[in-house]
Formats: sequence, C-alpha cells, structure tokens
Amino acid sequence: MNEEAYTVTVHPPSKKRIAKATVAALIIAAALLVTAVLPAEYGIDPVGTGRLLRLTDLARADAKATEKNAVPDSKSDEPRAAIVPLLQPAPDGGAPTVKGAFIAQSKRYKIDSREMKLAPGEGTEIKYNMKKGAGLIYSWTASDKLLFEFHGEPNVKPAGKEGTDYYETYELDDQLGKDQGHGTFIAPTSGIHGWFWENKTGKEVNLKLVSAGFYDWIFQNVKNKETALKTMDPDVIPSHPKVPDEVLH
Amino acid sequence: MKRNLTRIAVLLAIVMLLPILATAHNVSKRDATFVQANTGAAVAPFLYLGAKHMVTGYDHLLFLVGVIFFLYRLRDVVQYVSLFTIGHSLTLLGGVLGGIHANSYLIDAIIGFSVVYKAFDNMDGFKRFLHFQPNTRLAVLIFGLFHGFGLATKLQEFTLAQNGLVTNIVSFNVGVEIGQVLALTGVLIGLSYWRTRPGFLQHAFLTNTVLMVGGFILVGYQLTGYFVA
Repeated sequence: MNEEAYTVTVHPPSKKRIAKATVAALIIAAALLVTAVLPAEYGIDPVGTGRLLRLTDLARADAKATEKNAVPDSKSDEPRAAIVPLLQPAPDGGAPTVKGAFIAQSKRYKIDSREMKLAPGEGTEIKYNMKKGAGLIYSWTASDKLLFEFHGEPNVKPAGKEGTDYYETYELDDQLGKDQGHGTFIAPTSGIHGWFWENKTGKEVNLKLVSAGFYDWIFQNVKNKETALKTMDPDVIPSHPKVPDEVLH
Repeated sequence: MKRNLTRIAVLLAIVMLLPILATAHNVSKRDATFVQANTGAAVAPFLYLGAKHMVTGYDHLLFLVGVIFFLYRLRDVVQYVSLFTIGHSLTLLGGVLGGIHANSYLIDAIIGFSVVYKAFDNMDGFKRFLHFQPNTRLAVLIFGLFHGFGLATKLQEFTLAQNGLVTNIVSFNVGVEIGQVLALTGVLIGLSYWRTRPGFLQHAFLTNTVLMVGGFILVGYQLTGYFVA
C-alpha cells in the first residue's frame, strides 16, 4: 500500500468528473440496452444488431420453448399461448377432436357477472383484457334481440394500422340480432376481446353476461365513457357456493 | 495500465452477461410448479427458494455491493444490511399477506434505479451537486422497502395455498436473509481483499460508474418490459 493511493480520497471527484461518468454510464447502458438486451430479451431490434449477432434468436427461442412445453413462461408473468388447439374432423364425420388439449396458465382464472340495461338506441361494450392463447367461457342473454359484434382489439396492431382503432371481428349480427350467445373463446392476440351490443328495439332491453376466463381486467364502454373494471377471483365470492351432491344416476 | 484494462474488461463482461443471467433471477419453471402444486406448510423448500432467489438475484446484489462499497467497519456493514433487511421484510410480508399487487416491471425498474442512486452517491454526486448528503441509512431503508415489494411480486406470480401461507412466506423471507448473508460474505471477502490493493481507491470511481451502467440497464430493461409485455 503506498501513500499515493490515499491522496485520491483527499481530492474527491470533481463535479465535472461525476457528471461525465454519469452521462457516460447512461450512454453505455443505452447502447447495450438497444444493441443487446432488448433484441435478446424482447426481440426488439431497433438498430439491427440483434439480427446481425443472432441475439433475437434468444427471444424467439424463448417463445418457441413455451410453445413446445405447454408451460407458461415463468420469465415474464405473461402466460403465452402454449399450443394452438387443432381441430381434426373425425373420420366418421362425427364431432372433431381437439389435438393439443390444454393451455396451461400461471394464474387462477377470473369471473365476471353483470347485468346491463340498454335504453332504445343505446349501445354498450364489454371487453376482457386477455393474453394471446387465454381462454374464455361466456354466456349472455337478453330480454329482447340485440345487434352485436364480437370482436377484439389487439395490443399490437398490424403494420400500417398503428394508431388507428383497428379491430378484428369474430362474430357479427347487425341485421336481425340475437337474444343470447354462448361459447368458448381462445384469444388469437393479446388485447381486449368482447362485445358491442346495440338495442334497436323500441323498448328497454335487459342484458345479462356471465363469464369465466384468464383475463385480468374488464373494459367497459357505457354512453361513450370508457372504464377499466376489476375482475373477481372465483375463490372470493361471498359465501363461496358449495355444489350439493345431487345424484344424477 | 495493462492490469487496469483487464479489470475494466472483466467488469464490462459482467455487465454484458447480466441479461443472460436474467433467467436465473425469477423463480424457475420447475420451482414454480412446486410452489403452485404445494398445499400446506413447507419450511425447507421455501427457505431454499428464498435463499436461491437472493443469491441469483443480481439486482439485489448490485445494490448491496453499492451499499457496502465504502463501509470498512463490520459494525457499519451489519447496521446497513439490517436496515435493508427490515425494509424488504416489511414489504415482502405485508405485500403478500395484505394482497398488495405491485407491477413487477415498475418495481424492478425502481430496484434498478436504486443501484444508479447508490452508485451516484458513492461517487459523491449528491455532496457535489446538491451540497448535502441525503441520509444514507434512510435511503437504504426506503429502497429496502421497494426491494421487498419486488420479492413479494415474485411470490405473488403464483397462487399460494392459503393453508400454511404465513409459515411459507416467513420461510421464504428467512431464506432470503440466509441467501443475503451467503452472497454478502462472498462480496465482503472480495472487497476486503481488493481494498488491501493499492489500486482500490483509483478504481472505486470507475467501479461505481460500471455499477451505474448496470443499474441503468436494469431500469431500461424493466421499463421496456412494462410497455411491451
């Protein structure tokens, strides 16, 4: 240990030196982030180094691995689509069988149950925020026929549609309308998925919607007022119902 | 000069490796399956998970390196680390038991920022620019609270069985402290040895700059995650 080493403490770093070091740290961090971390972690490759160094393969491999294993990716808390259910028609013309039977999720499903009154001419919207591959099981019933559109707004819009209110239609009935709809749904994209209903009858229509699925919040649009609503955990229903043992056979 | 360059190269390599190590940071898939399948008290597994999380959780470690960088006396080390422990234990237990769900990306970004803050503090940045030294003990305690929220969000990613919940969370917390002691011992041995070398003080500034780079990368990494995921 020599004396010289200690003279450094006598002269603490100057303002200029600290500022320089901080700015340098910020620049180096930004450079590494843009050239290496973002391409490798998220597949975001703004300057093309990810493709050049094949770092984006890491991000892709990550996505592929989850597809293969049918296990939610524990790295991010995003449950990705593990498998795409493949419907195969039965040889005898019977009901199709589903190959790839389940999509594992890392969180408990949520439930929703609501009743809405639609005045004549009024439209309303309920959509669920779901990750790609998340499942939903739903039933809605109405006291009269409603025009409706079952649709989804992906978080990532296709090229050229950025910034527009782009949506994809799953089911549309804008002619006669229906008084109920039931089904299972697997989100094709990460985003909000749900219904727009419109009351074209001359009187008030009562609409009931129940669902269970892997969504984390609910989008509601009533009278052009958009709100994000909380979901309910199936385990915290007041007086959690116990299904009685009623013998069927 | 040549030795200095080697040191810089090694430090930069460590920073470059951070993202690759990133997978080690979260509870791994196999462990996750265990956590979710588990119903009831399981002291040893949760102890182990907590310790593993801390030893492989480089964001917590970077912050601790920053905190003890200029602490020469063991008494001070114990005091600061205890403050950090009190902070993160409070929010870990409170967060999970109280069901407070914080966004893990934002929390991890704040944890990254805590590294930047401490590195800037070690450079004497506050004294020089603000002409006063923010209370270092209070800062460690406050950032400890955020680190605890980070630990809590990692546990909350899984549906924990209500049965034996408190035992398991406390076990996880104790595991975190064990892991922290293990990791700190390694860091302290390394730092103590380095301090006996003549180059320590000259490289202290550079090391804190590299620490700051690591912190900034964590902030950017987590904030991007917040916006895209």
